[in-house]
Amino acid sequence: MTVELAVAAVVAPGGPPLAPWLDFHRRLGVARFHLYRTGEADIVGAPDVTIIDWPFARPHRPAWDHCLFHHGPAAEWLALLEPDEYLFATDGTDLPTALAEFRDAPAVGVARLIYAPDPAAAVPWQAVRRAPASLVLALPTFLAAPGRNPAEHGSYRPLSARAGFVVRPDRTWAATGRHGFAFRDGAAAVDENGRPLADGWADPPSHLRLRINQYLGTVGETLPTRLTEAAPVRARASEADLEPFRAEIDTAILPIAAAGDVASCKPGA
Amino acid sequence: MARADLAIGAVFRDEAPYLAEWLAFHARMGVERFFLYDNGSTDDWQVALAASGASERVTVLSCPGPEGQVRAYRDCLERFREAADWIAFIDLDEFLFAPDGRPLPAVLEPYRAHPAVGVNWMVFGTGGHAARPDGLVTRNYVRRGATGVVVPYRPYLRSPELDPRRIESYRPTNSHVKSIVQPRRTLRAVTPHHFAHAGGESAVTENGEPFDGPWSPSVSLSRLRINHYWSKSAAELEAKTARGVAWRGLPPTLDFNRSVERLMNSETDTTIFPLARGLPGWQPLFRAPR
Repeated sequence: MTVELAVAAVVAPGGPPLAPWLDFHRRLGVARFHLYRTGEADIVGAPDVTIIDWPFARPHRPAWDHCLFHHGPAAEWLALLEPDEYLFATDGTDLPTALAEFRDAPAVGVARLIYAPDPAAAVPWQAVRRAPASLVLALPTFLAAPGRNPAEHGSYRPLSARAGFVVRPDRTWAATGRHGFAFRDGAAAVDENGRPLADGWADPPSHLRLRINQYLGTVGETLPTRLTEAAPVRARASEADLEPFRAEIDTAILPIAAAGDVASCKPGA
Repeated sequence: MARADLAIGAVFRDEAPYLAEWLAFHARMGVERFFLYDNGSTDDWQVALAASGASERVTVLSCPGPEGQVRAYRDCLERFREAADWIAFIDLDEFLFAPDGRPLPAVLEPYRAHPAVGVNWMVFGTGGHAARPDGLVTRNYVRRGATGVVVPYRPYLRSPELDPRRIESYRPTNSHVKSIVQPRRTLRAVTPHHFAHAGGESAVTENGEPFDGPWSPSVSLSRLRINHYWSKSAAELEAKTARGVAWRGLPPTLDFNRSVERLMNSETDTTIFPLARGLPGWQPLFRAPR
């Protein structure tokens, strides 16, 4: 049976909690999850969850290719996410309805906003502090083009421009990396405004209609590794590293994640 | 009419195009009554009110002349003290809501031990709109100032003796509050932002921190929030500046307001979308599939 929207993710031991992530995306219309388990990651099975043991050191690209080949034909859209990424339409529209508008494109690249760890949050989406959309870190992966002066702030793309992809498997040739895909017939992915992505980046990032909230884990994670796949500048992120990720208050996900409460708020109540 | 859980007291002047959306939004958030004071409007607000579908909830009074806000708020407290458990005093370019979408009376329930709650705001700019666009304010204006943005505006000085040339001398814009008061425990409006309460009691922030005056000691927007569509379009900012202010003090110049507006577009903010999308006239974000 073909579903409108499936999600693939690589799940590693010690990662963020899966239950709220699954529940959130189920509510927004994800019908099937393909979870690529590395190591001894603890995953509770469910009828809509496929678990694939995945003993690769760099698991993402082969996982995306495996999912496109084996599970892609059973989905109109496939979102390639991380367990700390929450994909949603900003007005709460269910994702298959929102994605239908982009059916002429092979994929939609969704810009992200990155949240700081919040020890008070019972589930990741309760975190309210995030980085400004324009936040730039001087990380090589984010250089806007080869040869740009790495000492200049303007040489870097903002972190929020890193696109998360929702692809049409029937029009996707293969993954080219953790954050890149090649499409059939040379077609290009588009951003939420229908603009072709520049080299796979949602730059300038736009967060009006679709977005990904990415929730960084607790202090002590190797932040540069998480953001770039590159060798970490330091082994551990410090509180100071995370301070820029607390500059903004943003609760846009709350009424969507707490959909039951919203439904009780009727016009004229 | 039965006592309301929550009412709004507001002053308006020439804001007919926005009245229906503002009423409908707040009715949707659980506001049961509106006490509106007309500060010398010359537009057709009566037509807009009749068309809003909410006119049975609305009481309109006249409050012409300068410094209308505080006079109106004091009148509202005296006149409607027994009409509602809570009265929120906000403007027609301000939209009050609970960020998690819960009805406001339910959100206010835990604050019953306090005479008032001070609500922080996010301040929105033009988002590049030169003139008033078709459609709803809540849908059209999506760019706001950064959390913690500071405007070098004299009333925002932390204290009068501080150097006004230093940005550190000013309070963050977000820490300016609007008040939701329990009218039976409130004596009078002191400014459009804060009130004097019986027994000298203090208002609290959404996190229960007591404070006095129009500024909160911290900024928090997780339980209650106001979207302040301060400028709307560039043309409307010009008109608003020319209209003057409904409170005491030297009104800002257009050049100053334009410089402030430029600070109010740094972040996209769609927090209100899920709550406003059911309003009449809402322009859907996504086209229906062909």
